[in-house]
Amino acid sequence: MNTTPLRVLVAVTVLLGAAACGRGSSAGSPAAAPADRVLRLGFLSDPGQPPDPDIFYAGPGLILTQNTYEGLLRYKAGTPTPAIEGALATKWTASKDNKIFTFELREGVKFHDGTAFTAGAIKPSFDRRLAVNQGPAYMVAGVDSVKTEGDHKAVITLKQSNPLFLDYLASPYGPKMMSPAVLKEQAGSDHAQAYLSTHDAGTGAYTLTDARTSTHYALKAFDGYWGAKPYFTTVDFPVQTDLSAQQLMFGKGEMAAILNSLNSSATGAYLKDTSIKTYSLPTMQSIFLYINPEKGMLTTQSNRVALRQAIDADTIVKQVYSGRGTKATQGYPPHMLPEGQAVQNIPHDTTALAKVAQSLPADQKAITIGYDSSQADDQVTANLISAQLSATGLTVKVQGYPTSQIFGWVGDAKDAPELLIAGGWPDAAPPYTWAHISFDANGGLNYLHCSTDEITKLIKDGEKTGDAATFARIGELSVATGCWYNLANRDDFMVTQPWLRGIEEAHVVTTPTSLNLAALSADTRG
Amino acid sequence: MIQLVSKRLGAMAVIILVLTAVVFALQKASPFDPVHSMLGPSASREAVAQQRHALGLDQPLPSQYWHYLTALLHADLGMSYRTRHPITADLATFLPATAELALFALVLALVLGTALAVATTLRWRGAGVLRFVLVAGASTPAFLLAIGGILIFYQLLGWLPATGRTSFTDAPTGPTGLLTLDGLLAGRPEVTLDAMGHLVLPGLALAIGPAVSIGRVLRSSLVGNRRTDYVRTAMAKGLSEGSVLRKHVVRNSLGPALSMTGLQIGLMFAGVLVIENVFSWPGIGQYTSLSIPVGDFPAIAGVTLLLGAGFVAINTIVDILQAVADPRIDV
Repeated sequence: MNTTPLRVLVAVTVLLGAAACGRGSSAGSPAAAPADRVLRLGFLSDPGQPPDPDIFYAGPGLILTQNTYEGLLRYKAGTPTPAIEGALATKWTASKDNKIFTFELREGVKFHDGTAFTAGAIKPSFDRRLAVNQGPAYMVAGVDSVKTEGDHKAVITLKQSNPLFLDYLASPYGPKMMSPAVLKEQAGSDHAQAYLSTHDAGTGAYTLTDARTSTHYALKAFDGYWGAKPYFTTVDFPVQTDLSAQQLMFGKGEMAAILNSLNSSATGAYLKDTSIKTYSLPTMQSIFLYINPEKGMLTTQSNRVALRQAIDADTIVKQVYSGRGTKATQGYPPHMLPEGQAVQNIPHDTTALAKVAQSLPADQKAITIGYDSSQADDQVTANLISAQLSATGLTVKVQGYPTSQIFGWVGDAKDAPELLIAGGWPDAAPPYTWAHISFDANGGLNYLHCSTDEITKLIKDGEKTGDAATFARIGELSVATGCWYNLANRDDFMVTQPWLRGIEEAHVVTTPTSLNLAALSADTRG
Repeated sequence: MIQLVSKRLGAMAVIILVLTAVVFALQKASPFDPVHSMLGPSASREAVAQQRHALGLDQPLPSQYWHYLTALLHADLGMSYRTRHPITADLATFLPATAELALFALVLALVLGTALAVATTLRWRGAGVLRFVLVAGASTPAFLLAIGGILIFYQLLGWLPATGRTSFTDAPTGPTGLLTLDGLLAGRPEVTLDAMGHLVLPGLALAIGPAVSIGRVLRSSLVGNRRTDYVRTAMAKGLSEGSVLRKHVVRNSLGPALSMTGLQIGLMFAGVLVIENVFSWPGIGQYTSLSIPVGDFPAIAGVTLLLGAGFVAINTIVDILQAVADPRIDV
């Protein structure tokens, strides 16, 4: 008898077993806090851009830039609405015309290279942001001069008044203070871009120790940090590309938390699981339906309004955002304007659209609902809307598009679908930061080119004054166009092991998917 | 031999030229806006135009194509819009992970394919089980096999890791980029063993399909050759079955199996895209799948050229091996 094939199978089994024994074990049991004080998190997909605050302009990677760098100001953590507080500045004043800003700076702050933070770091940091000239550069484009008065006082003068400037400084994408010594030493020919894609030059509670694209990122607590010493000495971020695998690892205790990207089915399961902790934390994220005013029957405002009324937002929120979002009631993302302003009140009624659909010739009944193909929730939302609109007599198709194709419509929307589901959040808290990118004819998020002359004029006025009433009016006008439907206000839904403490206190409403890691700790009693 | 290599190098140059032309045509035809995607929603139209100019994307397409080709001659594939690194540096970073996985999967496919062919040809006990397992595996989509593997060997049994290349955060990063080898070179066998553990599931998921294809071709070739006169003569001379198989049948049966192996390697690289995503394997498959949604054309073009050149090179090697196995084949 020849038993070779069986021997092969046995050998494979032995190999599997040996490999299992050889694994560098790092996992704890789900209920136990890590004794080594290493916080194991992870990214679902790579952050996509280098962890350089003058370049990074996206979502999940904010946790790297926010914990390694600090600006003069920041938004408070642990509050449901945005409020500015000092970071590296302890006091500040603004001139009446919002043109001259004076800052008193924190003493005893060190950069991660060991050099002291002084007022002299502000100008090189601003200059570098302008030189790199990526997405967030606009925030310092209006700076005329930075003058220092000693080491711990600075006066920033703008070219023209800007009531948003303090919010720009506090924004998660705002200018951060970088070590002038590092910027000089590592300048090379690219303003230290290559160096800062794998290192940092900030003052934050953590320093970047590993940044391998698509593989692994890591932070280490900075011994010379001016604030309270972080509990976790190291934070690991292996890059995962599959949500199911990430959930399995969390289930086995190999991850301390999943901070973002959980879809509706995963959320539902975690909300029922009492062995872990779930958090639904306030953000400024909204899920919008964009209605294309240049396509077929939607060129008419009354038809756009009729279509919007035919959508049952309550059902969508219940089925997709249950436990981690609420139905939107304003034309802006949440927390930008007080309740009762820029109100969006759209009662669900299919009658008007059914009448329109009945009167349309067969070739105009077809509409396509597009969504960002990387967003699972947007796909579910699009499917639900498809079902709702189909019931009125329209022929509806759902199609996913890559992010860069959606951005392509900003310049030319002739190939854009009739409807588009897309989420987003503003750079900072003031309503201008959303209005100018969404409602302005040239806005970077105005994918389907809808605006009016009045809206454009009011945005320009509002930029100068920052007047909330102006932006409330802009919101009302945008709702009236029928081009937008703010479907849901989305929270940051996070799941953690039961021993992880301080999540609410570490979360900032303006900074989605991120946490102030220095505010986290572990309950070691279990 | 020299003539073959020269011919194939010429073919490689033509293929690369055609591939670059196709990628450029696709880039022009596609509705993507990688620059806006790169700069973000708040970027002004001026900033987008400025960046487009800096990247040379406002030039006419023939001019862009010419610049790309001249840079290519200097091994400059451009800069990734996503990672902001030179494409050559990115490929050097991600290729070793894919190469290690593909090599491991190839070895597995050859071992399993040969075992299947020999066991079924000689009707060994257990051959039916092996054939059933492999054919069932090959009939299952690779992603399902991958997820099933994770559920069984990671979730249920806890034998193997679910994702990534290593469990060590301080694993050596050089000199070869192949962790199994670098672990040994660094005097850390535990890293090598751990890396092998990480290779098993993605390697199997990639290898089973090719193993069955190679095994089937090898088996039919073996069966055919066993019925030939020279085998009958050798057996009549009193040589043992194993000896005849080793010395005569296997060598003469390798040609078709090698051809199939060459084809399967090409298909394996296509499968890598899915498998690397399921297992969070930081290779060029994952690099490509992250580059496509943001319209990172330099990255997509770089990977396309690399795979095209790789495919020609592999088939050249297969042709040479066929000639070595069977001197009657004129290369």
